[in-house]
Amino acid sequence: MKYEDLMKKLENLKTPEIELAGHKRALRMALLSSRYFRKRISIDWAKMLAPVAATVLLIAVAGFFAAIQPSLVHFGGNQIDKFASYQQLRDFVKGNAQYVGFLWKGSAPSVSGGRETYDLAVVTSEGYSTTNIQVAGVDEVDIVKTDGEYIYLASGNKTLIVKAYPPEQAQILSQIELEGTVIGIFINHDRLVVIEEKVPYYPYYDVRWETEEKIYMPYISPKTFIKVYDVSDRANPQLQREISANGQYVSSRMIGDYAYVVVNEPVYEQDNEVNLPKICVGVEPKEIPATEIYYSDVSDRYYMYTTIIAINTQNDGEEPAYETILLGASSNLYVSLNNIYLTFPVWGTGVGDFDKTSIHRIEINGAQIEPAASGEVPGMVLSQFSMDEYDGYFRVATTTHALTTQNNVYILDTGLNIVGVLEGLASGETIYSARFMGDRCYLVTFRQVDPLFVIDLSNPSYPEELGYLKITGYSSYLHPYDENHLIGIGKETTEQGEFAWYQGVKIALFDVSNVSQPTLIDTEVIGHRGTESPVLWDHKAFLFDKSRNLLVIPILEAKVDTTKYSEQDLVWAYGEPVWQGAYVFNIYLDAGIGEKGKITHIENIADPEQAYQYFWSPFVVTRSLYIDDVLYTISDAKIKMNNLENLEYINEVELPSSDWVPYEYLPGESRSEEPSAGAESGGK
Amino acid sequence: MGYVYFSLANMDLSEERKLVRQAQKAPDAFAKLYDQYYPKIFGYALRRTANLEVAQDITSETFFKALKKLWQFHWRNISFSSWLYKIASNEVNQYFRKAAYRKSVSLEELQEEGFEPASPYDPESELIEAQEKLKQHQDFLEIQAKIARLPTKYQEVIALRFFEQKQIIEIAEILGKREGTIKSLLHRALEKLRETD
Repeated sequence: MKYEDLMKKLENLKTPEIELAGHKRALRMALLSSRYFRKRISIDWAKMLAPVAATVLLIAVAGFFAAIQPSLVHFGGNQIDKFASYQQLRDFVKGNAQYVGFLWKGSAPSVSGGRETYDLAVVTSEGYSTTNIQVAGVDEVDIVKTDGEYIYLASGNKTLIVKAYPPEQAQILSQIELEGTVIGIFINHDRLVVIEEKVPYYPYYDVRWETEEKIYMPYISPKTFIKVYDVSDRANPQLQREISANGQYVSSRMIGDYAYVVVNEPVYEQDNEVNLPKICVGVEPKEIPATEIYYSDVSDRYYMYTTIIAINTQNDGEEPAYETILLGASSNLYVSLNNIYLTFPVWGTGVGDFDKTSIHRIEINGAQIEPAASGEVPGMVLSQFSMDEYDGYFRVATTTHALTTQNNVYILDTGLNIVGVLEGLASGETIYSARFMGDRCYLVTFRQVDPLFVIDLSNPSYPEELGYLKITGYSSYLHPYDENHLIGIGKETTEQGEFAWYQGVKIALFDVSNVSQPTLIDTEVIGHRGTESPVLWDHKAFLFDKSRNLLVIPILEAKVDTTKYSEQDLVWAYGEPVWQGAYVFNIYLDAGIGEKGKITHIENIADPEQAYQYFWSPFVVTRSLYIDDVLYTISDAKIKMNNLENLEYINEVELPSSDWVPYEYLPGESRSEEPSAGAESGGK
Repeated sequence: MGYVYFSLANMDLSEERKLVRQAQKAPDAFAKLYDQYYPKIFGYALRRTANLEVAQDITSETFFKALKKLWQFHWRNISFSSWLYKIASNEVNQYFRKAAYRKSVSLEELQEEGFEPASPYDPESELIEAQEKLKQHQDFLEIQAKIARLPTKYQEVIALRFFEQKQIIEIAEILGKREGTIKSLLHRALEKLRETD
């Protein structure tokens, strides 16, 4: 056959187009229920609810029609109330789902012990660092904790206790193995609190995407466990008490001796009955009766039972306390010393009815938990740092997405009535980070450049923009250096026309002593486009100590091979990952930010077990802390100890590997396997 | 706001990249990519191997590998489609290299682990039905049998060019070679194929 004929034949060949619908569906489910997703399910109720989509949607649809019928059921008014009966709860849920209305307002009780001064939630040098928290005195759960002698760490389904100081004697003392995933831990004297979550394993997701052939699956609730261990003998931790609740872990805090854990359980209907939340203290699971459940006249696509559990970590004789409120799906939570603020988004229709945030204040005092007030503000809350309580007022920064986006700060009284408003900041931009410090609020908004706004809140009724500074890039985390200086961590950007390309990770030091004219003291950019740091989304990965002029952040550094691109392409070119570990900086107000050194756990970058999986390798450094003059960097594979002064290696402790297995290389992925172009055309 | 349904039909590259980034965490985003590319990848595997069962295994393997390695995609400046074809191509080549293609995932094993497909289907009857359809493509099967005897590097370019209707530039992206190399590979491949006649 002639060459041309062969070409023609191939070009006109009718090739088979066959589909195996059954295989396609089965493979899809296998993929979606595989461990790659199971391990990394985050709190996203839209996903968690998929298995009950059919039943919940029923409630939603019924609610939708109910909303336009005169027989609409609603309760509330001025009183914060509990349901009178199960029947009432059932009618309420079925009648109100999807109905949007806010009738529940708090009776404005005063916040006990309003503070005149505020504390920077910054480590004061006690000889060791603690978790980077938002509010002084309100501890936040984390995967690593230290008490100055031991390091406690959560890794997969394990909690380890490691003798850490002195570094020469460092060794693992004990290991607690659990069935579920350890979300995080608290340490309080000789008590270790472990929060564990068990997510049922079954393929949830198909219901969602193939709505045309709805498949009914019974809902299996995830379970959250709170386990308190006596660790007075660090080598032999003893389980003292165990409390579990149906539902997914939302957040937790520890104030004084009390640990507070918030759990969400969706409300769903099965066999014409509405479920009730379940809690288990000791052995017997107990259904929380409707008459013990608070409700508000708010409505969401879904209803959730939000249960707050308080446990005295030191006194095992004290019964754990808990309260349940029927709310929407909590998205962000802020906790002061006296109050828990739960927020959830209320989605608008977008036509003269924009997105709002519903806020609920729950007073806490030891084992007392009491829903106190509820209110709402326009716009969406970004994170816990967008909220603050100070001097009896709750302050919140939001972004509204109307025709153009704009940003706002609201000040609310204890009854959650809005008393002060500052709206319309940075039109067209979105809040990337926020930080409230006493009478001031700092906001970073971004679209192409990063304005840092300074807002004065000293008169709660008249919040006022004092000044701003525009620089390239943005900060997604703001940390107080002191009362007049801020550290921002984010990304550098390069503008190109109407667009800005993200570049390396940027650290900026701002001077805000002249509020009307904030200035930039120094910036440091690490790596090229593609460089990442967990600090950008997790403040607990950030280590700063002012007295030691120390700043440590984990970095995945990417570098662009400049020979591969033309100059104008360099702005969008992604770098290749070249390094992962902790970057250690000196930080001074006069001298600025200077790199002190870098510590990695990946000794051999060519070893696939260590470096191939840049994001998932157990050698990825996630946290750092110090005890005395020793810097500890922590990955799933080891704890490494270096001298804090000169970063010289001291010692390391290998940690038991999790079930992580390095994935094999793709066969034939290396390009050198095939003969090179030259060899090819040269002929053999 | 509930569920966001993406329309992939007219999705540009940056949107696709965004979806891929989401897919690393969000099963629904991954599902959408899967729905879009399953027919293409299965079709490619079938047209390379002319064997429905092998094509099934290769498709399963390709998507599991893609899911495992999704994070890596970020570092490569190629389209998601090319990346999937690249993985699938490697799988097919592996099949041709080994006497018996060894798969690391099978739906049967997953079922033993407790995974159950939502609506049970009968793989046997589905296969038999598909076999019948495949048999109707005699012209294709004849030429496919000849192509399958060529070295895999020639099979790849012929299949991608003529069965998958890919442009030279796309083939270069998929195989990670220069366009010139693809052209000469294609030329040599056709010469070899002609010789077998």
